[in-house]
Amino acid sequence: MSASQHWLGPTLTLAALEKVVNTALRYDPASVQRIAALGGKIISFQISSPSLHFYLLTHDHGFTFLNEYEGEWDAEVSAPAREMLKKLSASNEDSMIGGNTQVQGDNQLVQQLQAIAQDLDIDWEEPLSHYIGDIAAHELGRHSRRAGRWLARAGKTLMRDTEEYLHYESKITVPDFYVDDFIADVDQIRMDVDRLEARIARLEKKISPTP
Amino acid sequence: MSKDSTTHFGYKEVPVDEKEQHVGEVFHSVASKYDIMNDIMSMGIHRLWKRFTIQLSGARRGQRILDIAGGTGDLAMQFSRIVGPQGQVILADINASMLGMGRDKLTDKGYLNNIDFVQANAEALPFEDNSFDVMTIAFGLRNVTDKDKALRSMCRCLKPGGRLLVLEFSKPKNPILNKIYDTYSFSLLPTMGKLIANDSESYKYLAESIRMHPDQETLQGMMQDAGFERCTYHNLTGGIVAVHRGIKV
Repeated sequence: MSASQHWLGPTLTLAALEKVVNTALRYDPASVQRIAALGGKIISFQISSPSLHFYLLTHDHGFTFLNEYEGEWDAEVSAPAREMLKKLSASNEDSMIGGNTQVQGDNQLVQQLQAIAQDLDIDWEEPLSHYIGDIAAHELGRHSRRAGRWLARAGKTLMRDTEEYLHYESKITVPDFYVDDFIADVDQIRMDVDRLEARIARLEKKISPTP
Repeated sequence: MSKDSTTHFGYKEVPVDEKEQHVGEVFHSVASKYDIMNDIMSMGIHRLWKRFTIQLSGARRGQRILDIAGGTGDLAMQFSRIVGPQGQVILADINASMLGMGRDKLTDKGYLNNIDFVQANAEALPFEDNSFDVMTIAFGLRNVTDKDKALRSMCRCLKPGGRLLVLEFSKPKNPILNKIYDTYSFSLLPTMGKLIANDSESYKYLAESIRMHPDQETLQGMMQDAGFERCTYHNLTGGIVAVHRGIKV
């Protein structure tokens, strides 16, 4: 007899993720068309910190998230969760491949998925309009976008000012370029020492009496 | 089986050749409210049970899948996404109303290319031998008159190496949960059926038919007798539901 009690937690996690992603995609039909154009592809995601393994299936209606897939995948992406999210965000210009992210299989497919995620443009006014009407939703959207832009600008200024204070006024930390120069100098010294060590070894070999 | 023999329809005993008609009437009655009642009765958990069943099926691109008693097409829709344009999904149901609801729902959602709809009796599946990679029957087996015959029919149509998944209500293992579940089934379910679907009798049948359905070990034995091997089962939500899996070798 073979029986087991199964905990539905992982199934629930992926079901919730799928629901959120596909609901968001409903308000960006252009992205759904781009996903549909990929055809039925399977991408394996090996996420670390926190550890999560799932398969993403692309189809005409968006994505399906699967806990297990016994067939062959088209590509596999392994990355820490934070780096993965960073690379999928619209402001990021780094390639999906590189850093702590490893890609196996169809690299182009992964780049296409990254582009779709970065270009995602959800029309939040559409779902809002069902509840508060078109005009109110448009006005709310306009003010939200303006507030968002102001917050982004204010955030950048605050970050810059904090950085300058820490680097130049309080001198608690040093600017990035000092650190880069320092690391480059250390690398240069290490290489010089390695070369010197090799020369000494060669000289010792020359002057030592041959048996 | 003699012509005079009877079988259970919920807690009632009815002539064997009448059970199909009685079950048919129940599902004609509930078809239009089936999805919403499932969501309310299970508090949405039936979606997770179905997802887990799909996970166990090992379905993949290009396969041919039969969803028996497929009703309103929850499993068929997910399978359609997984098998893709190279694969095929057949949604089969004996009940014309349920099949019609499933066909309309999937067509409205744009699932047209790789799903076919067949009105079929699970006891005599109208398909060739060894023709499916995966077969599922979710919350359907307990309504079948001759379950052994249906399981043999499924085994015949599966390809060697193919998997059968039976998702069905079962017996909770914990006595306290069992008590709560009994109260819920026999008091709340018929009341909800009355309020939402204006049909308390059908939901009374649902509760009774669950109690009359074979428990986990018995169903496992029935699958083995029908020709399936490596039969296993997983209890979900404390055994309120179980997924049985058998492989045709």
